Amino acid sequence: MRTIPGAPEILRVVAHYLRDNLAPQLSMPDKFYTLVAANAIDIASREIEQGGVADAAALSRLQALLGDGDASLEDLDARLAQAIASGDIALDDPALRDHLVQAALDEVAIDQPRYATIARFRPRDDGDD
Amino acid sequence: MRSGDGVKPGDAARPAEDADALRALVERLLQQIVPGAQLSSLNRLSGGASQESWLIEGEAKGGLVEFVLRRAPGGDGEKRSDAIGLQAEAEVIRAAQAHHVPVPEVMTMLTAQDGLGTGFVMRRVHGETVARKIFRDNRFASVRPLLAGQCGAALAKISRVPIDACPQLPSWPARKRLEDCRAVHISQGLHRPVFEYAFRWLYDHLPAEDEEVKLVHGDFRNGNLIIDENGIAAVLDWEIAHFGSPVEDLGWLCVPSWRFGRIDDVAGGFGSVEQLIEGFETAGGSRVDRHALHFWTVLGTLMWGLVCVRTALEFRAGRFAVEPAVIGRRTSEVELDLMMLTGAREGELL
Repeated sequence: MRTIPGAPEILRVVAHYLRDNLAPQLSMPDKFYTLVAANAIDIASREIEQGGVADAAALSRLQALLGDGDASLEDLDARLAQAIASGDIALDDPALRDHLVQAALDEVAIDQPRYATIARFRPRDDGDD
Repeated sequence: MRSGDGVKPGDAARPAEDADALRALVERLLQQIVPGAQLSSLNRLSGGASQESWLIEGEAKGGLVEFVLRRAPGGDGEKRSDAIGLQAEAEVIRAAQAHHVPVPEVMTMLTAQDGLGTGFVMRRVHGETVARKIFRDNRFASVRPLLAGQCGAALAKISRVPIDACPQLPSWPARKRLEDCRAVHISQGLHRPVFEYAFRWLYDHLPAEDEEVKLVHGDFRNGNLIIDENGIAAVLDWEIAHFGSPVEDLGWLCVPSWRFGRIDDVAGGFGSVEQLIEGFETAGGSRVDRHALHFWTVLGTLMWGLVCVRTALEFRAGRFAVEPAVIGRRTSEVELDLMMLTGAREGELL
């Protein structure tokens, strides 16, 4: 798609319209649902922008972890879930924890980039955002 | 969940009920509670798909009277699968009140003659339920440092309500709770490695079963507590009360999602674990095992994750509204929290 503006830009302006133009004119409960809708659009916009990179990174970590270069992300997730449930992978395996934490961080960055727990995984000298 | 202005209807719209007919029935009910009272206003407060809360305001000889009607218009047929029903809920609230738990006084149970479905009427308790306001408004500044301890004390009192003063309730000790969650997870059919990780961790950290089960509120957290300038004025929403370990309620309060952004105030965003435990033990609660508290916090977080997944599946199955879609996307917050909590040193909460 070469015609501009792109989908994330369009979604961003729709979310802005709902949140900053429409919602202030509404009363409850429509105001509440309009803000939730703006939030939902922001999630979709961030998924378009960041989802591909997050999935590719998860895929390469999973391939290394499970030693399979060809399977899909879905298959590997199912196999990892199975390996954890059956005890084939130790819970304190650093590569396992590293993958699960990184995958969760990448998804929360899309779903709720200001979620408080993210700060707990930042290096201490990082400072505030 | 309750909204700030108390206006947040469930997304499953119910056919409109005749407003005048409802008013007439409520007015008749009001006059049974306060003879001679005139109904001055009737407003819907909040509601899920199955239960409604209505604020009843009336004029009586002594002045303004205020009550809350909690009801299921068509009976209890649509209640949450784990909910105990409105009749049992009212009985638990009465038992809790008799044993000094702050609750709204139950004035009367609805009967078939009332024509309002099943439910009960409570005295209205003034105060705030919205976390954001409790954490920020100046009027709560002096009581805020006390709230973690007050939560502990209220939970101790709940744990001390004698079992035989309660209606019949299900018994869910730790292993049963975990196995039920496992069954829910399997029935949902999604492969989530972090959930599997949490289940394994939980089976590895199952606490010893308590010698006797106690009354457990089941949803004790910000949003279900009415807070005023003196602290906890009332504990609401007893619909999933059950018997089990009192540490379950303490752990549920520490679930990161209920800290509402105040991640370092582990006890529900109110304060520290130490304050919570001290409040609990000082008010007569049994000694709190830190390992058990860690277990219940992880299990509580996982239970909230299962609710997020269930909501996403309901959305896909036709609950076509924005809110369930967004709640489904909160699954990732739960996964991050589970990794944080299971990475903490044993018995220590991060």
